[in-house]
Amino acid sequence: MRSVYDYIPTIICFIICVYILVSLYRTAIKEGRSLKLILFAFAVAGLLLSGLYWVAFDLLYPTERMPFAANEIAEWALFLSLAATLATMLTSSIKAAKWEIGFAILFMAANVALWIAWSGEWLQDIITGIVFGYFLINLVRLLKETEKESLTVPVRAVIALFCVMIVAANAATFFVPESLTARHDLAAYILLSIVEGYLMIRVILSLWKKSEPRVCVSLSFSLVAWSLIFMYMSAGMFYNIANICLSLSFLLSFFSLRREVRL
Amino acid sequence: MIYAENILICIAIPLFVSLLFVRGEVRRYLAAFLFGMGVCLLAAYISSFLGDTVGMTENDTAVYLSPVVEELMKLLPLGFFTVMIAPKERRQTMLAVAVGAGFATFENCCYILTSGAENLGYILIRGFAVGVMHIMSILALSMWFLIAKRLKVFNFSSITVGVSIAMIFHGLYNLLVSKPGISTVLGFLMPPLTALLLYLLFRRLSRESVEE
Repeated sequence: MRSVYDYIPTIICFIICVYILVSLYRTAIKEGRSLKLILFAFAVAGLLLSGLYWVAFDLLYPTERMPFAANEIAEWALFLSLAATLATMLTSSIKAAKWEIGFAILFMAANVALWIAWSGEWLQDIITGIVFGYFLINLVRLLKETEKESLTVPVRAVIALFCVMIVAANAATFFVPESLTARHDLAAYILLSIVEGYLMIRVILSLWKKSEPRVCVSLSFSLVAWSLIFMYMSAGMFYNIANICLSLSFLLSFFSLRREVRL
Repeated sequence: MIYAENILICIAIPLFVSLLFVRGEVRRYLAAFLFGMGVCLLAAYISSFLGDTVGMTENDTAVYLSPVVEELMKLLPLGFFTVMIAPKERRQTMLAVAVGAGFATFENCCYILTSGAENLGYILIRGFAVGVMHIMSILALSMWFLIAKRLKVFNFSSITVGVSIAMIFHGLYNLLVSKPGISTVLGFLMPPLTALLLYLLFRRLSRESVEE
């Protein structure tokens, strides 16, 4: 049986989601009637319902492993909504960021391979990879468009290097002796945390300095994407930390989007 | 075991005959209602088939698989009306409600034949919960389609997002009522509360569009 402590990240997530949805209902939808905010509201609704489903399942069937269920589809809706939100802000052609897109696809393929190796759920993991990949592609396109103020080429190169190292560290856990597995896991967690912390600081600074809205959106959505990757690669305490970071990243994304639609 | 197709034939024939003698909105409503009943039967077949294929128990199929299949099946007539007929907004809402009502009615008929109808209190609760839930999920989807069309984003992504939200709403309801206790009460309360929220949102949006 889980303790209340285990549900704290989920409760934080619910509070943030409800706050965003109520704010959208009270002001944003009325004044802005903005497509971006409506799509983002769907993403938040997907996150909230997926979390509620998980909690309900965990309380009703504590000893069972969740089979394929509607909450996975809600997560796909979340990725599609986030991707659609970004798509409304893109101005350049897809060819402008071909290298970044290529790397995003490779990184996602590596992630899917790891998820399948961990869970053995082929179909769900492949579909999740496709929709998450679509979100990542739109994200790297926006990052490319705002690269002077968001993530410059050297910063992106360092993050890409971190991505390769994280995938390598996780993949290595399948081959190295069991005594070394914990070290590889720890290395991956440290790398994931460094990028998470860096992106969190960058988003807060960009909002604080009132940077251009598209810059704030690209950084905050990068934080969302990274928090999701962090969460999917973690277990135990690190999973809870990543879950809280994901909730915060949604809140920061909401503030960024609100600025984008000038509310 | 019940013979669902026989039940459908029995209920549908009088409605089908009445189609010949009514016109206009009533005929459209009846036709959409029959569509709703038909897709309910197809959804039951597909859920059972998929459940057997992946080796799920009957209860697991009802809790985890049915919401996904049922919402997809309800999307078919709604998608057909929206894309092929492109009805006016008010008519589309009416057709969506009719499909949902037909679906819920047929599901309730089958439920009563399987589990009995001795307990009026429980039947009333189930009628309000399931009836409202099926209508709410498809009505919300139809509203989203209308908004998406107005904003010119009626595409694969927006349809998938809308259906996915309907699926998780339905899935959460099925999960909550799958075990007796407080969760069942919460599950039964979910559809009426959602109906209230949707009504408030609908009224607010309508008022604002009039003011504009």
